[in-house]
Amino acid sequence: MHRFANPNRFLRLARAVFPWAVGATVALLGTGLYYALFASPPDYQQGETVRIMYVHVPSAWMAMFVYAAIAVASASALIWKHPLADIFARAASPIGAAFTLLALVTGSLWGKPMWGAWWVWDARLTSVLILFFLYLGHMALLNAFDDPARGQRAAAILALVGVVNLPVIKFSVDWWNTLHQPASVVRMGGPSIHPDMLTPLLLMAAGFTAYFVVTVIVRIEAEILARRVRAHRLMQGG
Amino acid sequence: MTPLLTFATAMPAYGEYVYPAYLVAVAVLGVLLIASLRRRARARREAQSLPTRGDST
Amino acid sequence: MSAFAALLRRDLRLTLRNGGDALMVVAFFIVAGALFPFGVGAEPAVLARIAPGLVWVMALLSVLLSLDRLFQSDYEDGSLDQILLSPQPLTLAVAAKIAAHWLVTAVPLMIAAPVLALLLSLDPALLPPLLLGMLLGTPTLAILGAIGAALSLGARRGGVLLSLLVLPLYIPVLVFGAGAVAAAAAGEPFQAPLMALGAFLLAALALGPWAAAASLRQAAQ
Repeated sequence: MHRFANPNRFLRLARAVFPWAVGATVALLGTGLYYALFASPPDYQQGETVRIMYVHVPSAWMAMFVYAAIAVASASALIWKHPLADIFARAASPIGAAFTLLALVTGSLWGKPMWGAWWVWDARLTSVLILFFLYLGHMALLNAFDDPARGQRAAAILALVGVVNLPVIKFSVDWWNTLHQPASVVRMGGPSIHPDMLTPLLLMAAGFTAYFVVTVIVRIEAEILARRVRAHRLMQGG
Repeated sequence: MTPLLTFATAMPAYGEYVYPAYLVAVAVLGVLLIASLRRRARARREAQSLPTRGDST
Repeated sequence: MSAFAALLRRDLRLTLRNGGDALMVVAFFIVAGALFPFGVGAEPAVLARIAPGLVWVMALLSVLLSLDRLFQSDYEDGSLDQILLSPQPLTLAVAAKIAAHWLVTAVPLMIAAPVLALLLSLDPALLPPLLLGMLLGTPTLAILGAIGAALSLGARRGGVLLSLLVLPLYIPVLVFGAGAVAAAAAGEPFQAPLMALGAFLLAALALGPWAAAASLRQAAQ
């Protein structure tokens, strides 16, 4: 892992991976959208509204996955002072927040025709809203100090404290009797969802993951270069 | 504009909630990607204008 | 353990000596809570319906408001560096500071809560679940708040940042605290939400001082 702690080595690797990630994003999201909007049947209960699921569920998965990745990066930043882990956490936070916002908005658009309300205060929705607030707090804390390193350490601790929320989100539909439906893909005894609907779902999830890789590489490179410029100016000024 | 309109009218009707969800997704992810690319472009410009390569981050 | 007691005694004495601070939080609790009858109308039935939630939200905001002085003055006058340098475990020192903070803010709030409940025409029979819930819930608020206060120590616009960090973490306590009163109001047993509050407290006690100590240490770096 420490092999990639060197920013230059990371940048070389990232530039090699980047075109493939862009290609994968375009291909996966393209086929995913085709399946989601044209080549999948309407649900026998939800009708065409089920198509919102193909954006909503992958966004929610990504929201949690990105947070978990930030937490792991924060732990390695605090324990091993891994320099890239800090940069990754800073780069990934807005992306995770965007996916969380997307999960909330698309969930709301699905809830209106299905439950008759834009928002209900159920455990799953509330815990995802808390996740969104945690992302906002993480980003605010990163930029709240004159010394960026201080903000990074504080944000890393906050990210670790907020991990408590992830199992609450995952199991909220099992622990409380909620409106939100229980897990249907990742569960004991295999997915309970029809393959015709699983295909667009998995394609979109893979596409979102590829999008995350692309965007995070772009943001990490921007951050590394910006730090180089800042260090240079400090040397000039000091 | 016209081919876009014909395309839009050729799309199957899914009610008033399906397309907005997809449009929001495109908007949010698109804005984030463009903002990130602009950041990288600015950082690259500034890094190129450095006289010598400072090799610390 | 004597270090714990000494720090606790010092913090209590410091707060009591300029005793206005603790009273100010209680005054905020009552005054801000008393705004609601003007906002939603003074109909007793309406007020009684929303009173449990209001008392809890006001308690939560009052605790939040008092958090900035938890570490700030020690950070400014250098006592924090002394505490960090001392051979005593920092987690213990942080626990002592949290305990002192809870004693001087949350306990007065619990004493004042029946007054606010009365102003909001809450059924007096619901006071036991409210106060028991506060007894179990406010220490969790103080511990979570200590983490937030340590994280935002020395930040620009620290107060606003602190509320952004801490309020989301307070939501579970609010849900179960107000839930206990709501269950009692509906004539149902209210042990389950209280037990959840107890579980939160145990988890916060085990992990909170440790996390707050880690944040303090990196704040002083």
